[in-house]
Amino acid sequence: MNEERREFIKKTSIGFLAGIGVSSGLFLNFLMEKTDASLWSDKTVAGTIRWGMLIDMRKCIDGCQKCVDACRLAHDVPDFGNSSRQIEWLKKSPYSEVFSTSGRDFISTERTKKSIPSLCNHCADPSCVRACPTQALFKRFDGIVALDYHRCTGCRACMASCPYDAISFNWSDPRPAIKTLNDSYPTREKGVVEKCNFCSERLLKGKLPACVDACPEKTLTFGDLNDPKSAIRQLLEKNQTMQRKPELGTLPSVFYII
Amino acid sequence: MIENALKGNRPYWIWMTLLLLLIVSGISAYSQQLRLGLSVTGLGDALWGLSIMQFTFMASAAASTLLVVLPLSLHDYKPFGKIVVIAQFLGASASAIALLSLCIDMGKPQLILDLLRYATPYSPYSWAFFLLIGYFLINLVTGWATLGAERKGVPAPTWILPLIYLSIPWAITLPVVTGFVYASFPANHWIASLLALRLLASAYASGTALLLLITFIMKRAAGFDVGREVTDKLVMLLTYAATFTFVLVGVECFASLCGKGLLLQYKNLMVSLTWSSLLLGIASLAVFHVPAWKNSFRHLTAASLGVVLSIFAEKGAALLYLSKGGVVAYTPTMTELSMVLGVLALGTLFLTILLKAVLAVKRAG
Ligand code: SF4
Ligand code: SF4
Repeated sequence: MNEERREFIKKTSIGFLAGIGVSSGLFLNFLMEKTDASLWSDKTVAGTIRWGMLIDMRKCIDGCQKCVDACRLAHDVPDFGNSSRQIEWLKKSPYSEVFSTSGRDFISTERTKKSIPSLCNHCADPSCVRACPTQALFKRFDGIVALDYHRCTGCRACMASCPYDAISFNWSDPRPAIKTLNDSYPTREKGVVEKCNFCSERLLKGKLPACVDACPEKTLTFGDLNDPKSAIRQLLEKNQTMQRKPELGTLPSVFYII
Repeated sequence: MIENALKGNRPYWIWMTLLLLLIVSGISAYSQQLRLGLSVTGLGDALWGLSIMQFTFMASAAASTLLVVLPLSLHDYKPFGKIVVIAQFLGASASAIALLSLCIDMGKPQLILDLLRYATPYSPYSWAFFLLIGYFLINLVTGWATLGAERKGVPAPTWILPLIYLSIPWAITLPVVTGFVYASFPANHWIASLLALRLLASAYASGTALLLLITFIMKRAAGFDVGREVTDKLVMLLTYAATFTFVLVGVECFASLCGKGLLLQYKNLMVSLTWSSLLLGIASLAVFHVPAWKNSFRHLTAASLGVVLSIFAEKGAALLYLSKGGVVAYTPTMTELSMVLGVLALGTLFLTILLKAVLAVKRAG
């Protein structure tokens, strides 16, 4: 585990250095991530990083909202309650919604009774990036599908093209709806979209994503999919796992053990 | 030529006042949206609504200029020379309406120029925006140059010829790319391939219907007659395009609504809209096929209007699938309606001014 931890820190610090590299010369705080999409290749080349997540539903406790709350707090995600304009980076929903195209006939209730965490899949071939007319959405060098809030025009083409309903739009000013304000991440404004960023701001500091840290059951495993020795790859090797809507060819980086 | 817009009879001024009132109400609704965000619309579960419907409709209707320009420039069908400027101005105004409709739908309209600055070759939305601007300019410039030459009684300048030829593939691409804006959704990949084609067919039907309506209005209001031959030809083109469109819409309704059992959800506004659209379309189409009605001014007007409304409503059908899958509940708000009507009125005002100039030239000639 120590070995792995060291490896993890080493990798995240590559991101840190890259972050400084591009932000120099720009009027950006380097905690805000770089925005020039051309600097990153979207090919998954061996030896580069592709962050991914594995969600082990055998461990997840039904009714627990710790990961969801941690995410909301970490990113100042506004809470519009149970409305069609709710903003969600990470949410828990029933099997029938998360795996809406998977078979449901005669399936064990063991599988379907729990609500399942879902988030942006940071697809290797993301349809949202292709739909965005301004490249506000782009793929980073480490596989994270990132979003530049300043470039987003609020056209919502990305939302329509994401098959996982992972993107939310700020229909009104989000700031009044933020429950607990946290100044480690910039708040957004009305008229832009937002979604999970795999906690890239925490990765910069060598920390794990907030949801992963918050889960008391270690349901969520985060790591480099391109590294055969990483914990996530070991788990993928030993277990039968699922991706959401694999038939669409978006190559999700989030995996599930149901 | 523009100054003619300041001269007109009573009905003309009533018309202009009406348009101005709609524009003012649109502006006030829009300022509310600027203040409160898109929460003033009925959107939420549905991502895109009325204004994107108008964008799709107008972007494709604009393309119908092709049906006049092509026979005239490639097949040398002379009678269309009479209406080519009208068709080009219709194309320009419809593109302007489509662009404005996109703009009022944006969360951050102040970034609209970023759509050009960061134009993205793999994004259909980006293409649609670029093509619309181009199409607006091409039609405005060629239309204006043709009209100016006509006023002086000289043949149209030769430099517009390449532009006119360019407008032909442009007009075919425009509805197809607009269709791709919808077709690229993985959530509804099962309806994608038909969509671009359907839009292309409906583009020519709705655009020709609009053109026909405009010539009728010009005849009524200003005594400018395009002549029997042109009207007949337009009706013929309209009949072909509309027949094809409604066959495609029918296939779609059957495949996607019946196939998914959504047929029965009459409570949903959008589903009923699709069905009424199809019925209205078929009814209007029937008029064009009845020989006795085909020559009646009143029947033709009603039927063209029917085609226009039906195709507009049918755009809602494409939006039906947009969100999380299934049918989305969406009812536009008054604010939204005022904005969309305001944009429509602005484009119509623009067209009216242009057509006034056309009339002045035709009368003098
Ligand atoms: S899950 Fe959706 S938002 Fe996330 S990368 Fe894939 S397509 Fe884009
Ligand atoms: S809403 Fe923003 S991020 Fe999404 S496609 Fe439009 S510009 Fe890109």
